[in-house]
Amino acid sequence: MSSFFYRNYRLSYIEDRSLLHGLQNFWTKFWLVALVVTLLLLPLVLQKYWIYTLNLAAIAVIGALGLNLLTGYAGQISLAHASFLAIGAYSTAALAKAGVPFLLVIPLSGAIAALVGCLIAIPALRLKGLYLALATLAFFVIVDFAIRKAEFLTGGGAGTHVPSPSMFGYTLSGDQSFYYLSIGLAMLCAIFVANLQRTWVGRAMMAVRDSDIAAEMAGISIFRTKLTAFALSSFFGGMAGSLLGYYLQFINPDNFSLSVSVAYIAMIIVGGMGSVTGSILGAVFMTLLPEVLRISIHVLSRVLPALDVESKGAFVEGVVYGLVIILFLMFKPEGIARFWRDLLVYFRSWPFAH
Amino acid sequence: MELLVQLLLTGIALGSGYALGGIGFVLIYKATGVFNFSHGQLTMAGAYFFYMFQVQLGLPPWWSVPAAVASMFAVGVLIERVCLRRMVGEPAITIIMLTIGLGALLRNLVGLVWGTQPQAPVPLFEPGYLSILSVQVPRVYVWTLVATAIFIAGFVVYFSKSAQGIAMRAVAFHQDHAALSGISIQRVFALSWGLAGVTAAISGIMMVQLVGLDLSMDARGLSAFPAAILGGIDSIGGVIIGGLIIGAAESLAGGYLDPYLGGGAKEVVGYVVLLLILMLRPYGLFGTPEIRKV
Repeated sequence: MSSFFYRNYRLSYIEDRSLLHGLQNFWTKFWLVALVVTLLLLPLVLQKYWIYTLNLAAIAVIGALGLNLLTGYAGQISLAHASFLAIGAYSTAALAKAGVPFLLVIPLSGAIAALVGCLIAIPALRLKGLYLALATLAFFVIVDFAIRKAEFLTGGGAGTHVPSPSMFGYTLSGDQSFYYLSIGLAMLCAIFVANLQRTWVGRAMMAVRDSDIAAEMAGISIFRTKLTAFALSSFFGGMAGSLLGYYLQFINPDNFSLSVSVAYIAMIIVGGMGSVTGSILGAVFMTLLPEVLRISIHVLSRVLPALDVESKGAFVEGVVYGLVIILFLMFKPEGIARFWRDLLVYFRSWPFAH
Repeated sequence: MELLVQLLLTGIALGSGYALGGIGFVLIYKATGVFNFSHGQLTMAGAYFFYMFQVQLGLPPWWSVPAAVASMFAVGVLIERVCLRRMVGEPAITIIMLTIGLGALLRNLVGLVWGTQPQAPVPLFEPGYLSILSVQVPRVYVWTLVATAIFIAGFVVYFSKSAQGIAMRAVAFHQDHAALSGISIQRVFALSWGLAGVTAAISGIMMVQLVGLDLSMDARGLSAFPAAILGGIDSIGGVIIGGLIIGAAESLAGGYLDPYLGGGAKEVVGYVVLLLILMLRPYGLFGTPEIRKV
């Protein structure tokens, strides 16, 4: 069935129901395989520092997928995503110290975060829009306070050590092996979310986002849908936090500040709301952006030493960061995902561009 | 007893700063329907402008207040003109995130210009103590409270008497009707943001007198959120009372709870109140009940 030329229509129900549209085409398959092979081979050729950055990007992809489920699909705004990362990371620290194998620790940390996520879903049942944003902000502040105070568990403001991921005597160490763990998990999560949006659970979320009253009229339980969205979102956030804890090996409350929440919001805005591609592209973009900026600041300080940009690097990054959020919202509200799709359509229909 | 009175007075002084800041975003919310998450950063920027005029440019202390206020008016109008005007009619979530982005931008711009070191502006009020109810209270608290009360009274008169203030209330009441009677909506929007900048600047300057100036000030500016929600987000009178309550609650928590919790209760208590009020009475003490099933 596979044809050499691109076709944008489906010939059978099986094709129509496929997870990735376009898999009937030779080139789509080709590029997909090429992407996976490249991702698998990358750590063999890259420097350690870039593997480190890619690991952070993969972790960010998992977190961003979670937030996108909640904000992009279910339409519930949240400023508390950093809290769920924190809960996941601290659960990991506690569980790993107790000697639980890491393949169990990661989902368990996610589950603990999901339980807390259900807690915050309770105010969400009554609030929306701006009030929900404020409630999640309050939740964030309270969790941050609790983490700083519960010193017996979290080490307080000083932070705590996270043991290396280990299982039955085997210890996962080094950036390369961690890369395969994080990228594998990120892929699994992406496939899960892509699948979810085709099921009734995902469609119910989108219905609630578009109009909660109409959704309820159609027989969708808003309570259950919002609860699911919050639980899944915080589950993903918890897993991302767990990986982050394992990877950084030392965590303190400053790793999970309000700016982390804002960073995740920025990821899904820049990437594209309600889109798996968008979550991935946004997370990678926002993780690579500081690195690229750091390099350009370094170069700039060589060229123009008088400006003294090097010492103010963090603030320059922050300014670009804020600008990126504002400019994307004003001029490209559908994010990179839309840009990417337009690009694909342009090349597919070339030379018959319209 | 002495401790209680002292804590209450310091709390009310701080709370009057929150009330003034809170007026700023109740103003924006009422007139333009935008909830401004960058308000904390605006407050901080106002305080730094004050520092710049007073210390770096060497203006007399009391002349730097109007200078900072005028600059923040310009900043507010600029934000409305450049960013928010294009976003009219966009969903709430987009606008909330835009103001969050603005907050990040403002904070880092301030950091870029003035650095991370805590700064020390010259105090506006003479140091020393006043004796009230046989309790020694720092003068600066009393004067801050008085100055803020004067500014708040000024705003109340402005809204009830001046043509501009009435135009703003008309737009808040019904946008289309206001437009039909010849009020320029765009100018009112710009003016609201400008005035929000003014209140942010004044509350920032007053907070500097009480707690000093550094980059963590935007978190203090955020305390105006609980104040606004507690009072009712569309009620100017409510936000004043809300601000005073939040200020007093923070100060009392700082005095009575911190010895047991080892610090930090002050920053959290406002948000606990916020969460409770959102659960029990989302429209606040004096806001318009908005009955809407979710």
